[in-house]
Parts: sequence; structure tokens; C-alpha cells
Amino acid sequence: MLESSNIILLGLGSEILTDDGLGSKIVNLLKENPEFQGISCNTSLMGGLEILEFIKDFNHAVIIDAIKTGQNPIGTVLYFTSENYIETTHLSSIHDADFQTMLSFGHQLYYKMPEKIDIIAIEVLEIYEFSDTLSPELEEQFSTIVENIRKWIIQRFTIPKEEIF
Amino acid sequence: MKRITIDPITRLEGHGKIEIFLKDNGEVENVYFQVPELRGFEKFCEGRPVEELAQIVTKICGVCPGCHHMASGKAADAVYGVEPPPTAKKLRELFYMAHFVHSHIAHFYALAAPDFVVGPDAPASQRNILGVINKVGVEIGTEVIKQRRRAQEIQALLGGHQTHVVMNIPGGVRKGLNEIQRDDIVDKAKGFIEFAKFTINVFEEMVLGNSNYLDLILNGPYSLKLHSMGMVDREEKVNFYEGNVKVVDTYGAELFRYTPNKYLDYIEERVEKWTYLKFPYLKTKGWNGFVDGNDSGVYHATPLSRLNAANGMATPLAQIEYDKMFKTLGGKPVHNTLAMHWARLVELLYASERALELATDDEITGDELRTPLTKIVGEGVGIVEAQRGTLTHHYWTDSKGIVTKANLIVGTTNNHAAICMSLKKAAENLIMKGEDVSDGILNMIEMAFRAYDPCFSCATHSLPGEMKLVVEFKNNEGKLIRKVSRY
Repeated sequence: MLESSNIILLGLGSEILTDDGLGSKIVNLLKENPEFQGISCNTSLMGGLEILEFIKDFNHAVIIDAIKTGQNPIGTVLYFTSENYIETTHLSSIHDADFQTMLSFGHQLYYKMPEKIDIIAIEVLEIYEFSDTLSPELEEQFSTIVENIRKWIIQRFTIPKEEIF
Repeated sequence: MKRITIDPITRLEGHGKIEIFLKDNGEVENVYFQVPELRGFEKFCEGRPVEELAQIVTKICGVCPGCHHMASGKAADAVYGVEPPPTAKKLRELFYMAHFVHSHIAHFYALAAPDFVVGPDAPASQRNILGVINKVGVEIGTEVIKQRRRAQEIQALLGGHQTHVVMNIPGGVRKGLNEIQRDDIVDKAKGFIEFAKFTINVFEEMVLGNSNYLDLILNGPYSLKLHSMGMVDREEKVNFYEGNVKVVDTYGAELFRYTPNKYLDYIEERVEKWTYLKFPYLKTKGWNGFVDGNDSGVYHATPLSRLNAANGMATPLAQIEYDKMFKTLGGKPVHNTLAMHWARLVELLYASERALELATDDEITGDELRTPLTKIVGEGVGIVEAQRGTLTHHYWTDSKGIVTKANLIVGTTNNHAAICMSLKKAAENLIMKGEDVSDGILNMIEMAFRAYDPCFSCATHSLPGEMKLVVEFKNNEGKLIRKVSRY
């Protein structure tokens, strides 16, 4: 079991827009897993400044979101950090701030910002159609994707612990 | 003929594209504001129990979920022919005031202020909230986040979730408020009022106190004579939650007013083949094209139009600011598009004061939260003022309350024609023949639509794409001759 109040796991996206809410679906599933009882889990429709509200005061943030590049097979899981990420579906909000501006804003205000931010992006197919189920290509792989992400997070936060913080 | 494309435009929610067609001599020939995504929400509603819709609509977009929740809840009340008890109505309105506070703060500091506090022609890298905070001070940035969060906390408390609101059910609300919770909201509302007053002072000092900016508002290429729409209460004051929709003409004379269930008698929607977003217009005037003036059918539904249509604000401090605004701008109605920013701040103060009024109302902690359902009417309309304009939800159901048809006129949709015209006017005045179209000029053209605070996620029901801006210059044969990317 992960035991840290300093980790936030944040899923992004709307669950009624086919694959758009994949990040939220994954987090909602993981938070039911006893291994994740010790960390904070949350979901949001919005990026930008909304993310700031969720991640500030944590040492480590893991953000899970859909991405649609058209350059990877559907279901591909990509792992980034805040230094090398590419824009996912919801990291930035056109209505207030993009992801980097949000991070800079947090530092500008002297907030305690996460020392490390991991961004897990899953290549998806459909993010505009209204549907509360995933596209068939993604649905088929869903349990594998969740399991891979679960393992990645467990590994990230348990071995060795001193490297995490 | 040259063609300039701004795609997608920045600092608005959703995906929009501006295309500017230039004559061979460099003058602006025409401007098209396109929304390329297909609207589809109404079809999604069909076949669902009407009481589910209030929860579903909050998941379309995270910008104004509370507005859709309120309009949907009111439409569902009407479908069942019930009026919520006073406590339920006041709880809804209290939630809604917090929603307005949250949204209007975000718009001013993140979207509007970069153009004024930092400067319309400042480098794009500084024209954002970071640049604003550099100018006004870090402590103000902290207050922005704090007040937004407090507004979110009120929404989460009353709505069950700050974004995925589950508050409204036909005939009332799911839960009430206890005294401890009420005291907390009172404290927060007092903070909103102080912050709203502070923000208006920032606007007065940094915008009105700058003669160039004041001149831009008063005499810049941002003025259109449009009819004004807004909801008013029985005393003719601005009301966001309940009342009649009133429309005044370009001289300020009342054209008509309607109760929600009569909206189709007064509003018609027009379709243009070059955009998915419709163009509502006044039925009584008819569609006379993209023109302003008293004979036009084009209206706007914005913070400014709400203040134009009403006879004042229902709270004392907001009334003082209302009077000051109209006095400074030469009396009612005001047609300066950039004055929408000022009107939005007057509304911020009103929402803050109204939140305090409601939180201190004896009935707010009452326990009569729902009127029992005894019949079904089968059709209902709910209208509220959303931050971005008058929002209408209209549902038809069968005898079991299953939705058979839905129609939505979203805040931004009301303003579609007006936005197109504002953009054209700005482009005509700012793009000089023979001169290069700079980044600053493009931003000043974007300022024309930014004043409306448009949200095309709701209007077309898509989600935002990538944050990038591409400007394409094309000759009269459609060939690309120059391309500028802002990403």
C-alpha cells in the first residue's frame, strides 16, 4: 500500500465524451484499490488554473489525461514530466492559463508546488462524441492500461523511497 | 484579395477561427468568425429522464456548468409544473451567485486584464495572468486564487460537487444548509464584496486612469449599436436567476419582454452555411444581415446588455458602480464593446452582495426543500442569465418524463452575430492597407471577441483543442502567401 499524504493522483476529462474522460475513469478505478488508499485521488474536467488548486501543497503530482496525436496506436501509454511533456487534452485551459503558465503562477505566488510532476497520457480515438462508454478499441485494452499504470505508480513510489522526495 | 486566418483564437473556451479577407489594396473586405465543431447536445438529451439532464449538462464543459444546471433544473420544474419552495429557490440562487463570482474573477484577471493591465500591444509572452500579477502584486494573485477557491467551496457545499453539480431536482434541491455552514458562507461572501470592490478600484486606476485605454474604450474600433437583452426582476433590476427577459433597442427604449415559456415568440435562429453555430435574432425586427442600428435584428446578451436593459442593480454598492459607469460613458445605453469588462465587474460586486443577502436570509436554513410532484406538463422552459449571456433550456417530454426533444440557446450563441460584427469593425479599423499585420494588431482584433467572454464549448458542445494560433495570409486565388504561428 502506498502511504503518503504528499502524493496527488489527478485524472482529467469528461466521462460522457467517449474517450475524453479516460484519465478520470482510471483514477476513479485506482482510488478503489486498497493499494491507493494512502494517497489523494481526484478528478477534474478542467485544466489550467483548476489544476493548481489540486496539486499545490503536494510533493508529487501524477496527472492522467487523454491525448490525441494520431501518431501512436490507440491505447499507447506515454509517460512525461513537467519538463518534457507534450500537450494532452486537458492540461491547459484556453479560458484561463496553459499548463506552464499555471505552474509559473503557482511559483509566482510562492505556493508550495510539487517538486515532481508526472504526466501519464493515453492515446485515444474519440473525444468529441457524446458517449459514456469508451471507444471499442480502447475498451478492449482498458484493463491492461489500468494495470500498467497501477504498476508504474507503485514502482514509482515504492522503490527506493528516498529518490522520490 | 488576401485572406488572414486566426485559428484557433486564444483566451476563449472552445475552438473558433477568424478569417479576414483583404482586398487587393490591403483594406478589409470581410470577416468571418467560424465555429467549426458540430453542436450535438440536444440529440444527446433525447431518451433521457428529464430529471437526469441537470446532472448531465454540467459535464459538457467545466467553464459554466452551474448555469446549465440552473437552466436545466428550472426547465425540469416547468416540465412537472412545480414551483420550488422559497428555501430551495434561495439555495439555488446562492449557489449561482458563487458561480458568478468564480467566473467573473477568472475572466477579469486571466482573460481581460492582460490586455489592459499589461497592455494590448505588449509581447504575447507577458500578456497573461503572470504579467498581470507582476503589475498588481503577488498578494493580489494570492487573493484571486483564494476568492476563486472560496467560491468553489460554496458551490461544492451547496451543489454536491464544485463542477459536477447534483443540486437541483424537479421541484427543489437535494439538501439544505445548517447554521454552521451558513456562517461560513456569510464570512466568504463578505470577502467577495471586499475583493470585488478592490477589483473595481484596480480597473478604475489601471484602465480608466490611463487616458489611452479610456480612449480605446470610448473611441476605439469597438463600438456597435445593438439591441440589449437581459433578465430583470419586478423592480426592473438585474437578476441572474429569475425574472422576465427584457430587450431594449439601440436608444434604450423597451422593445418587449417575455416570460421564459414565450421565448420562441420573440427569438428566431438563423443558420449560415459557413459555421455550425446559429445566429439568434429578434423576430420582431427580422434578419436584416450583419448590420447594427435600430432596424437590425441583431442583439447582444452580455453583462453590458444586462445593465443596459435593466433600470439598475438590486444591491446598494453595485448600484453606485452602475451609476458611475453610465455617467462616465455618457448615459444609457452604452454601445462600447470594451465596456463589457466594466459591466462584468459591476456584476461581480452585485453577485457578491447578493450572496451575502441570501446567506443572511432567515429562510436559507429552512427545511422545506422540495415541492412534491403531482402531475406532468410535458414541456418546460428554464432561463437564467449565464455569465456569457441569456441561457435558455427548453425540453419536451412524454407522459413519463422522458425527453423527446430539447432546444438550447446558449449565452454565447446569442452573441454570435455581434461577435462577427465586432471583429469586422475592429479589423477594418486596425488593419491598414500596405502595413504589416503585427502580433499586437491581431491581439487588438481578438480583444473584440474577448470582451464577450465567449465559450464555444457550450455553444457548440465540443471541447477545446490545442492552444495555438495560426494566421494565414491568402491571395484572391486562395494561395497561401504568408503564415505566422503563435505556438
